[in-house]
Amino acid sequence: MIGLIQNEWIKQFKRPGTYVMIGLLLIMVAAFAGFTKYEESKQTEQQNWQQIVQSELAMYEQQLKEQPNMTTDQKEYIEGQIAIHDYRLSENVPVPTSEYMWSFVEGSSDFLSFAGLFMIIVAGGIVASEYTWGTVKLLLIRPISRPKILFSKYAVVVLFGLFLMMVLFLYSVIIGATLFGISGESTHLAYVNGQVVEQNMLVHLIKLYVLKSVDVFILATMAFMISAVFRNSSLAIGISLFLLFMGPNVTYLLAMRYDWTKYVLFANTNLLQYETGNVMVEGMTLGFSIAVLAVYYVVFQLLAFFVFSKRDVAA
Amino acid sequence: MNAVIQLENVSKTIKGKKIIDSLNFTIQEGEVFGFLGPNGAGKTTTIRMIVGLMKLSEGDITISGHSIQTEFEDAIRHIGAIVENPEMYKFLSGYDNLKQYARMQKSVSRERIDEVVKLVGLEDRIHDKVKTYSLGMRQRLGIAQSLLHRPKVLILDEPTNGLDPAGIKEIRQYIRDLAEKERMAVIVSSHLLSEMEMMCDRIGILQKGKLIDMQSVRGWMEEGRDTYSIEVDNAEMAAKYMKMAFEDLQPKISRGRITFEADKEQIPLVIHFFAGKGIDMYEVKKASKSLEERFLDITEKREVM
Repeated sequence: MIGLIQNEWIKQFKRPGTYVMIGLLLIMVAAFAGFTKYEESKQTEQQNWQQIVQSELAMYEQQLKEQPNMTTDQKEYIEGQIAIHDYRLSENVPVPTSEYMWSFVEGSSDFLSFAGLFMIIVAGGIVASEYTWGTVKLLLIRPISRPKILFSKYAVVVLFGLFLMMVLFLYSVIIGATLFGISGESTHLAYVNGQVVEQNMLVHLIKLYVLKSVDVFILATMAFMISAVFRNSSLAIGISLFLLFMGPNVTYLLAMRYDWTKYVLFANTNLLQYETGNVMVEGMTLGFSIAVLAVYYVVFQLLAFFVFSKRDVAA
Repeated sequence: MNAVIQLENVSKTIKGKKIIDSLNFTIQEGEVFGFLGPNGAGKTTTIRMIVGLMKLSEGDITISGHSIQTEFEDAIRHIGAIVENPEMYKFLSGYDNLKQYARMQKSVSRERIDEVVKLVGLEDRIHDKVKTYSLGMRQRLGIAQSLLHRPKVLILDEPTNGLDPAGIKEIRQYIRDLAEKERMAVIVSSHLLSEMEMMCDRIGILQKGKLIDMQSVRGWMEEGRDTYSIEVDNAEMAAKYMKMAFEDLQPKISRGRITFEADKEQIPLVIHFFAGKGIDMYEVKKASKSLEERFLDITEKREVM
């Protein structure tokens, strides 16, 4: 099995396209860093952090007063924010007033969508290309069952996704540290079970990266399934990318009218919605979303494995 | 002699149409078996079923006693194959391609890779990318790939495709050597009939999914009566005498020759007879049918039926 995964990894990294993807990701993050640095240099006056916290606190309290009919989840979120801001003032935990390493890493988490885009491209091509190249015939006449071959390919899709996430994270750390310095808060304040707790910044950011990657992992799995079932990489990549960018918006519109939207994949891919309390359809919980995601995931995998193992290879 | 491959009542139905109809045959170790048939007769489909790329609708195929359907991994372990064109990863070097396949099989050492590379004569170019290879070089790489794990059965679809005459001769020699020295069973398919004649021990003719004839190449060439022609001074006279003396021969006259089908043993008798009757003979010639003619004879005959 290690040999199979090694084979797939080599096939991926012996092609220039892979380096173009990594290069693009690095260039985009660098451009984002440059832009941030430029903006920062224009900002002359340094604000006092207590002032910022106080004004935000006032804003939250006003919201709580003016919108009495908000959901309990939203209310909980705002109460949590108020508690955190109170904690900052009483315990003297400043908010960062200027960009520094960790805040930059947090900001560049938005580029996870691009990492995801590249992961989908790889997932959509990894099975279909073997058919296009005609190499599938030589691949499947080895003493290895078809499910094992498919699994090794899926493993490489996941490893490639994790690899891109790691590249993005480490690269952001390096750029953030060199351009903006490492001085700044190293703790993150969270509101857990009615109490403010201090969390390690690194752990918080890794958690953020993972949660933000849930949708791309599921979509990459879908692209992989389409690739294995239809043997067509353009179809797999096209549909998956379309859904990655359009899915959440369409789902949001549907969610305003229909209750069944909560069973739609994209209503559940954003797990961060449970932190802010702005859930897609009222009544959804973290457990519910994980269950829905699991069902979609299993269906995609079963389809891919079943069709790939049973089909006659006539290409 | 041990049967390495056995096909039992193998059929394949696609969308209600029977593509392959009840194939039954065995191939022995050390034997080169040729698959012959017009395009669309089902040669490639049969090969795909033997290597497990296509499922069987009926029947079973066993390789070294293992069913390709229920014991795929144990059965396929003994097969090395090229199915249709030898398609390789073009962005990898020839050597990296072989390493890919080596990782998928147990017991393929570095030395073994070098050995097969040398066998197919690709030492100079093996570290170049496959996209720079000619068709002939790809064919050689394909053969190298199929031999890596020392299979008991070698399956080559159109192995001489795209090779120059020297290359064809070389491949033919490999195949004969592999069968004779390594006792490998080899299945080749080719549309070049003369090629098959030189390479194979036995040939099976496939038409419309049915195996319509199967014979050893030697037996086939010798089967039936051959056609002989004798150049004589007086063809009409010779034909008249012949009809009287040999009732089963039917001589035809053309341009000072009589032409007839006969058994080999009858020829000396005919010559003695003509000499006794005072007929002068200038040339006695055997007009043997080529494999190609026989092949066309057989396939056309079946077509009418």
